[in-house]
Amino acid sequence: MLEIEGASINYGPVSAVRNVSLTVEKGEIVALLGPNGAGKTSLLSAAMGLRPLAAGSIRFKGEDLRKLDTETRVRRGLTLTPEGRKVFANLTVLENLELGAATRKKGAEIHHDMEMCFELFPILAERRHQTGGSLSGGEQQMLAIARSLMSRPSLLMLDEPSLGLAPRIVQQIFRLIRDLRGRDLTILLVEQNAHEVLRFADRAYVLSTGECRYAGPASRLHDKDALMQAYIGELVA
Amino acid sequence: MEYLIEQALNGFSIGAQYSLLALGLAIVFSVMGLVNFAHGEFIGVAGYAMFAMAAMGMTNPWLLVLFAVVTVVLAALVIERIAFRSVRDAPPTTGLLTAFGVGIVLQNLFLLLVSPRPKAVPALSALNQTVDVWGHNFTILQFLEVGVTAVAIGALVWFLRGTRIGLAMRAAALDFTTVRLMGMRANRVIAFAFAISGLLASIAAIFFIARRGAIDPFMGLLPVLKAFVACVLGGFGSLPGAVIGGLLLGFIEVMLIVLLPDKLAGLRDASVFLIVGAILVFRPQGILGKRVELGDKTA
Ligand SMILES: Nc1ncnc2c1ncn2[C@@H]1O[C@H](COP(=O)(O)OP(=O)(O)O)[C@@H](O)[C@H]1O
Ligand SMILES: [Mg+2]
Repeated sequence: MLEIEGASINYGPVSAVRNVSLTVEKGEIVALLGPNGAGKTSLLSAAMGLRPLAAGSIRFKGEDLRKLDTETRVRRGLTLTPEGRKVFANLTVLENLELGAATRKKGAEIHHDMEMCFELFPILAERRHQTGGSLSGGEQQMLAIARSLMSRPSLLMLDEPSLGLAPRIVQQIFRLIRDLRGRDLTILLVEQNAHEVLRFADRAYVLSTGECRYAGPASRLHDKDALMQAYIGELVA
Repeated sequence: MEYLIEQALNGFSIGAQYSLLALGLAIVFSVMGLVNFAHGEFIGVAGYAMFAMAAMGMTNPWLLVLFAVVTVVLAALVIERIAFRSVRDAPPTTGLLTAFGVGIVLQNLFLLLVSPRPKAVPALSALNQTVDVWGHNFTILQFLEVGVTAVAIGALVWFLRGTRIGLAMRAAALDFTTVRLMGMRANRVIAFAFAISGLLASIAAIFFIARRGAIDPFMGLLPVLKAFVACVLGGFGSLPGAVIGGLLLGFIEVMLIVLLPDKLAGLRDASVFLIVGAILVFRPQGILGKRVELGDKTA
C-alpha cells in the first residue's frame, strides 16, 4: 500500500534521513521504532508532503506521491496523527472532528462517522462542546486519532501516540489501535515504547540516526538482546 | 448631557471604522503572521474605484458602493496572489517589507493614474445630513457606521463558527501545519483571510469617504496606523481585541476632541498615541492579549 524507497530527507545542511526504504501492506500494523532524533517524524512528514524528499520515492496504492500536495494525499486515503497530538486547542471537540473531515462533502455521512468516533471514544461524546485545550493528555490523543479517522483513511500513520501518557491510558490507546485494524485500516505506528508495540505489530523497522537498522518481522525483536542490537548495531534481516 | 450622548455615538461610529480596519489586519496576521501595512491602501482602492465610476457617469450611490466593495475584495485577492504568496515562508520582516512595497506601489498608481491632489467624491455626502432623534442631532452616517459594523462583526462571528473554512482559519491561527494535515488547502484559507480583510476594509473605506467627501493617494496611511494601534491596544492577533481596541481608540479620540481646546487641536493624534502608550505600560500584552514571558514556549 505504502512503498518508500531510498528516501533521504535534509534540513538545510543537516541530513535527517538517509536512504531508508519501508513498505506497508494492506491490513498490516507496521511499527517504526528508534531512539529520539532517529528521523521517524521526518519520514512521516515526508510521506504527508510536509517535507520534500532529497532523494528516493514514495508510492501510495501504486501512485507516485511526490507530485501531490498534502491535501491531495489526504484525499487519497493517507492520514497522519501528528507527534504531540496537535489538537486544535481553541476549537471544540466537534469542531476538531469537523476539520478532520475537511476533504469530504458536508453531510449525513460525516455525522455518521462522528457518531462512530463517539462510540469508539465515549469520553469525547461527553466532552463534545469543550475545547480541545481543556482535555487531558489522553483525551487529546483520542481526539487526535478520532480526527484522523474522520477523513476515512485507508492508511493511518500515528506518531508516538503514547508520548507523555499514563500507562493505563497507553494500554487503552494500544488496544484501540489493534481494534482499528479490524475495521479495514492499515497502520504505520511510530513508537518509543518498543516492547509494547512489538507484541501486536506484524513487522517492524528500526531507525537510528537517520539509517535503517532493522527491517523484518516484529517477532524477531521480542528478544531483548535482538532489540538492543537493532538499536545500536547492524541487524538488517 | 445632550452633548455627551452625541459624542458617545460619535466615539462609537469612529471606533467602528477602526474596528473594521483592525479586524482585517488581525485576521491576516492570525492566519499567516503577516502585518499587512498595505491594508490602508484598500481605502484608497475603494475611493479611486468610486471616483473612476463616478467620472464615467455612474450616479447611483448604491452601485458605486457595491463596485467599491467588489473592487477592494478582488484587489485583496490579487495582492495576496502576486505579492504575498511568494514570500509566505520567508522571515516575517520580508513579509513586512513586501507590505510596505505594495502600499507604495498602490499610492503611486493613484498618484500617476489620477492626480497627486485630492479629488472630490461627493456621491455619499448626503449621508452627513443631520437627523433629529429625541432632540439630539445625529447624522444618518453615524447610525449606518454603528449598525453596519455590528452586522459585519455578527456575520464574521457566524462565518468563523459556522463554516468549515472559518474553523480552519481559527485553527490556523494556532497551527497552520496541522490544518494542512487535515487536507485543508493553505491557499484557500489564506485567500479567504485576505478577502475578508478586504471586505471589512472596504466597508470602513465607504464610511471614511462619506465623511470626508474627498480622496487622495495617501488617505490610507493614518487609518492603517490607527488600526495597527487598535490591534496592539486590544492584544495583537486577537479578533475580539481588535474590535475592542478600535472602539477604545475611537472613544479616546472623541474625548480628546471634546477636551482639548481648538488651539491644541494639532496635538490630537499625538495625544492619542500618548494615551495608548500609557495604557500599554500597564498592559503591555494589550487588553485581551495573553502575556508571554521571555523564554515561554509559544508553539
Ligand atoms: N525542523 C527541523 N529543523 C532542523 N532539524 C530538524 C528539524 N526537525 C528535525 N530535525 C532533525 O532531524 C533529525 C530527525 O528528527 P526527527 O525526524 O524528529 O526524529 P524522531 O522523530 O525519530 O525523534 C534530528 O537530528 C533533528 O534534530
Ligand atoms: Mg519524532
